[in-house]
Amino acid sequence: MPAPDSFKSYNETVLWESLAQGDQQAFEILYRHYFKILVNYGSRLTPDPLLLEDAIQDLFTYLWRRKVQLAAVAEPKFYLLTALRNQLKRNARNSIFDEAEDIDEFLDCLVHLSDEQTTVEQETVFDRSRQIQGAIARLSPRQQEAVNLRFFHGMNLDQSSELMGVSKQVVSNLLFKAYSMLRIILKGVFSLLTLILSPLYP
Amino acid sequence: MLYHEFLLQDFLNDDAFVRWVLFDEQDRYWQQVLADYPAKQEVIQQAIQLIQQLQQAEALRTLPVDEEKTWKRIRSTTIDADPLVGWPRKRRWTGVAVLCSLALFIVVWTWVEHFPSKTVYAKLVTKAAEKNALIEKVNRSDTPLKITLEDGSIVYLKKNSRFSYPTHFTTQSRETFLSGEAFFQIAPNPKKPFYVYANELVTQVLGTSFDITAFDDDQQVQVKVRTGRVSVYNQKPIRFASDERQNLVLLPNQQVIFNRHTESLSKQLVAEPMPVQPLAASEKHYFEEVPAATVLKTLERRYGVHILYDEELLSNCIITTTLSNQPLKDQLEVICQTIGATFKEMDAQLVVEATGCP
Repeated sequence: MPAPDSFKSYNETVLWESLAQGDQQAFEILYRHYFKILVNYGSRLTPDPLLLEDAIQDLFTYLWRRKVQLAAVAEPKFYLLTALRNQLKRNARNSIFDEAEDIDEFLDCLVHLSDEQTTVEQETVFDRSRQIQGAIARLSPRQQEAVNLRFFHGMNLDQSSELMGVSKQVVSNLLFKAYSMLRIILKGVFSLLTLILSPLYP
Repeated sequence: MLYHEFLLQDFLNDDAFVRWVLFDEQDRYWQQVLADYPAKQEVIQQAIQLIQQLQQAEALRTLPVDEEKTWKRIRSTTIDADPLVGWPRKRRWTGVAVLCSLALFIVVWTWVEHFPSKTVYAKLVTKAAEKNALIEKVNRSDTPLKITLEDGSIVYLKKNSRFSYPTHFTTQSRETFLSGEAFFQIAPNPKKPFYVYANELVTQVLGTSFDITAFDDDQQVQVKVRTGRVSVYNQKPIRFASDERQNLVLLPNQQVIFNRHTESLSKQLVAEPMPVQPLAASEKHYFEEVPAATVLKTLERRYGVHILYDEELLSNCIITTTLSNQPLKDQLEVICQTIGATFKEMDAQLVVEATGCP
């Protein structure tokens, strides 16, 4: 098994080229590097760990079969995220893929959140990251995906829109809604967040 | 880039800024921005903090998928599945093996499922041999085997076919049995109809020529008539007296196909109808400025194929053409193009659909 940090000691282009030659170690290094990234993104696409595990296995099996063509892939991370999304879509028919963002649902959700605010404000124990996690979990699946792609995987607007199969405007809207909801959910929990999130779209 | 007007939202929307916070990309550039815009330092710090918090939260929000277990599964279908000769080869062979066993299974299954109904020939021959001694001819070669029967009829038995006939025909009929393909030229004898039992079909003739294709394992039984009249019917259950229920009379250039699966008979034209008789020297084959119907009638006669058309619509269609020994459909096509019509086959007849001529 390669050392945990071995990915960093290689030039990624070289790793993909070695894989194209059938290098088993390069294959494993790439797997180890991308595993957590793929699991993380996949977790926004399906609630089922087994489905995700299957999709990742299918994806890497496919990579090994098509390894010869892979050296030419320009942006491996974007490529892999796209491939994972497609794989999950093929494997499962019931996840977030068909869900459209519904503005009424979104507004209902905002009203609902405001009502809950009182209880949140009374809480005295603050576990920052857990609060944020909980807040993100309250977002719609597609808002979560947009947040995840942008603030965990660092995908730009073009990549996110291509990955999610929607226009850039839709991704922007999803992010804007996500910010708005986070502001409400986290209001009173973190004064700092309240402060900094309030001047959004002045 | 000017950051004077940037608010928190704008930093969150700046791809390069996000990637700097997440992956330390272009660190020098952003350190410079921090230095150049002291008034923005607070909002930049807030943006950094927010992005980092989201990143941390996101990192923790992940399904429990086991890295080692998944890797073992991947290995088993990739690296470990690679034999020395190369993975695709192995894959191909297993594929071939699967296909072979599947094919074998299907063959055996069809055999078991359909064999009894399809060896009609064997059953018929056994049954007929009880009454009358039979001669069986088998042809395995590419050249047709010519068999001359007692009454002067000639049978050309094609490849991989068997034909059984009695040494002496009975006084009432001439009964023969075919498995495979053969061309028949039957000596006329109205008092003794000639029968060919081929799978489920019985072909009854008085004197004519025709082809029969009826292999044991084919889905279809086909009878094509070259000259004369032939009647064809489904014999079921096996018996020798003629059962006229599903009876079709075939004329030259017509064929019947019996689908053994659906047990249905369908009559059609043969693919390339041939002139029933060669063009007689006396017969007119050059037409100048004549009504289209006149030419169509000539074609009908020559090929013995019924051609349907609306005489009134075609009354203004005057054509000049030469008939040849070309296939019927080619000649009809030429005529139809001249008069702006189309034709189609329906129930072993040709139907000309015209819009009329000005």
